[in-house]
Amino acid sequence: MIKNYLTLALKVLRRKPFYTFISLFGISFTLMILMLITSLGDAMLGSNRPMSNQDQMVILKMLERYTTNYDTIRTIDTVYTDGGSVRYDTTETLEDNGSRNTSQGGMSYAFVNDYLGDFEGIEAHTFFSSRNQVDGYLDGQKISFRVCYTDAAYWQVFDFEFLHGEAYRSEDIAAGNRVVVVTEKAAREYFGLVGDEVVGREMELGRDRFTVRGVVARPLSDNALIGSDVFLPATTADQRMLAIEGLQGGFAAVFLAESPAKRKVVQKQIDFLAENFTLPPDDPFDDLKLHSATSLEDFAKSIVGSNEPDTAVLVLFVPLAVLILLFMVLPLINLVNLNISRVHERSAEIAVRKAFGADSRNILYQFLFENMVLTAMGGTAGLVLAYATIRYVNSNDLLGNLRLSFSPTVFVYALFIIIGFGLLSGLLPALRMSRTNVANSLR
Amino acid sequence: MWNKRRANAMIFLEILLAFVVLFGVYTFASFNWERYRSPLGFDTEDALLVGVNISDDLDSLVAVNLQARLRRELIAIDGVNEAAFIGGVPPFSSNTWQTSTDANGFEIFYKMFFADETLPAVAGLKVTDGRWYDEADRTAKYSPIVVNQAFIDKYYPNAPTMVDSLIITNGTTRIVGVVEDFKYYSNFAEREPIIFFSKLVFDGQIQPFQMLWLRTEPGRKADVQEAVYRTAVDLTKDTDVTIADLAELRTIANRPTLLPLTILSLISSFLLINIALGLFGVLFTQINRRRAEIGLRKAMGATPGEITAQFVGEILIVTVAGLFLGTFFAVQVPLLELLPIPAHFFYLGIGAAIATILLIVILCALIPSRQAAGLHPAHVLHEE
Repeated sequence: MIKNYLTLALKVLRRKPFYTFISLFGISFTLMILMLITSLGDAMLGSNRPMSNQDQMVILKMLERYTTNYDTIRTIDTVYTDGGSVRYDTTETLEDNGSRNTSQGGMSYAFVNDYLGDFEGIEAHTFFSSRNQVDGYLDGQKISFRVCYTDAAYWQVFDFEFLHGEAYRSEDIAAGNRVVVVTEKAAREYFGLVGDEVVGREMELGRDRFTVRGVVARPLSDNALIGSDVFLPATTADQRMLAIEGLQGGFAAVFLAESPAKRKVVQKQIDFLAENFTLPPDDPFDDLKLHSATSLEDFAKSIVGSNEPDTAVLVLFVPLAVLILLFMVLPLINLVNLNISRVHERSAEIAVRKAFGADSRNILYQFLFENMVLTAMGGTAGLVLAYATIRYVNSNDLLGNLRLSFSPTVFVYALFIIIGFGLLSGLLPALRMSRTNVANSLR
Repeated sequence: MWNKRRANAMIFLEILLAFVVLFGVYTFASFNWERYRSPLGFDTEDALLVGVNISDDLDSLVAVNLQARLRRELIAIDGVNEAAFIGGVPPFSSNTWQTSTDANGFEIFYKMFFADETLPAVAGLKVTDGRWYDEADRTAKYSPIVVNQAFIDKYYPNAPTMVDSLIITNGTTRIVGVVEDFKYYSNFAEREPIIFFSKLVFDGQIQPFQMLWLRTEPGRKADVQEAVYRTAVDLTKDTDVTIADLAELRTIANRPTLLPLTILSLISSFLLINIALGLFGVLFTQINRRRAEIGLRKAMGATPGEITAQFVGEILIVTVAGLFLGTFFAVQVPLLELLPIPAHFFYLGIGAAIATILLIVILCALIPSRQAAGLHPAHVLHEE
């Protein structure tokens, strides 16, 4: 039966090559775009290594010191009493005039260590300083690495995939050992090769020489938390950076909550700490605010550039969802339109089949099947196109440090997309066809 | 038309959705294009940013001498023309340094940029009024500031000139000049009020400038870098020296806007092709099904032009209805001020979307109708 349907479907497709082309063009490009979007979404937001535990993470990157400005408002009530005399009631209130002086930035090494060490409900926490840069010259060739100074727990919170060697441990941090973990990309750039022999070799980074302890796979995402080229123990950072006495500095903190639900608890504790924090008397600001976020909120905040996590998520994802929906629905309508207008062509065939005893359901299945064949062809073409695009984008680093993935997850998503698309675009026309009136069509 | 209400409803829906997409894309694109067109205000070609580490614990006089020597020796490198010290926030870094004050009687909100006396020559700034601050201003009673045109436009639009006025910003300061523009975020940034200060004051303390803006001879920014690096490392006795290419930083800073814009235009143009092909196919079958009718009308004396006009007219009615509804929704956006974008971009978006869709629909209708109009009545009527 299926074989019959298949031969029939292919025959039909070949009969009108122009229409087949239009349908295939629409299907393959739409599916390609959907697959690319899925792949992009997976690369940026997916729980891939080293962000496997992202739904347990609470990210604290920003500390804000602020002073709320108050105005003295003097209100004079004029009261006319019965006796004809006038009385003036004057009240003075201090009101928030809406303006604030603020200073925002990362946190100092002293602050994270002194205040963020013990919260309840967390499995692990890490303090690190990313987005540092080190330039150098190697045989006249300029190399430029993004440096992240971390503690040992960093490797526990972020499960990087170690290709060679291993992570540095808390003993290394305590001793200030000059050891380094590099990404495969940085290793290839510096040593010209990646392999077990890289471990143990020395790298000159800024003012010191570091021994390679491990090589990690380069993450897909260029998220500031993980997107560095080399990772060094925090204690090897510039001593002046570590010695800052104020609250602000270059450090961020990530907490790994015991469960996704516990994140709220951790965030509450952070807010509580900020609200009850007393700034030192010589500080030019009055109050403290700590902007913690979940990984999704952090992503939205960094793209939208807003401080309010909820609005950032809305502002980013609502238009995005509408846009994707529109981009999906339009080709779908287009295809349905085309299919419906062609019902007429096939009416004679359907009528003959019905006259010979096929019921509506058979006809429905046949047309759905035909459409699925078409979608499968378009989908395969789309998959190939998407794969080629991903390869092209990645090999030319068109998206900066972000790389698209073509993982099994993306493939499964793609399969769902293809089946859904085929069913949706075929259902309405197939229903129409199966309801064809025999008498009219055979006339 | 009523007989085909189902097929027409689908075309109507398609036109409506296509309009919504195009409206959004055109509005977004024209809005960003307008921003892109306004000048950046400084040159990014042949420019390097060199970050150095000047120790805070140095005696201030030693630091000043070190800076002077650093600049002198960097300029002496073959291929380097000019150098200026800047501080705090370099261009195209995503950092901001901004503040507001209402000490002048109304709220002034501005971004701060810190640079020494030589910046205009290095960065190619255009001073439109007054002058840039110079060495003589160092001992002036009020510290000198330079503001950008956006600052004047926003806060003092009616003043003939603000040069030599005292305003309260970071203490009482004297405006000595106005520069044209300075969009230091990216080409797509908004024109925002900026004040240039000659000293970097943070938390009440003057801090040394730790970054140099170099201008190299045309095309030599790549090969001077190593010499610049060595000189800076030798003089500061610190390997913490970073060199960045300003043009590259600009590309990176533009990417967050340019990338979605490119992706959106690519997807929309694909959608348009898709819609055009689909519409063409639909109209082709629909018109072909009416061959008998065409034959009859031609036999009755209708000209090919009339028949073409009829088919194109029919599809245009559906299209215009779709566009009408779409426009009705679209004008709500500027009327209700739903988005913080000036209204004229939305009207531009509506106009451009209508024009594009009409063009596509007419083209797609014209070809099958012309073909149908060319049918010979004897031929077609014979088929019946």
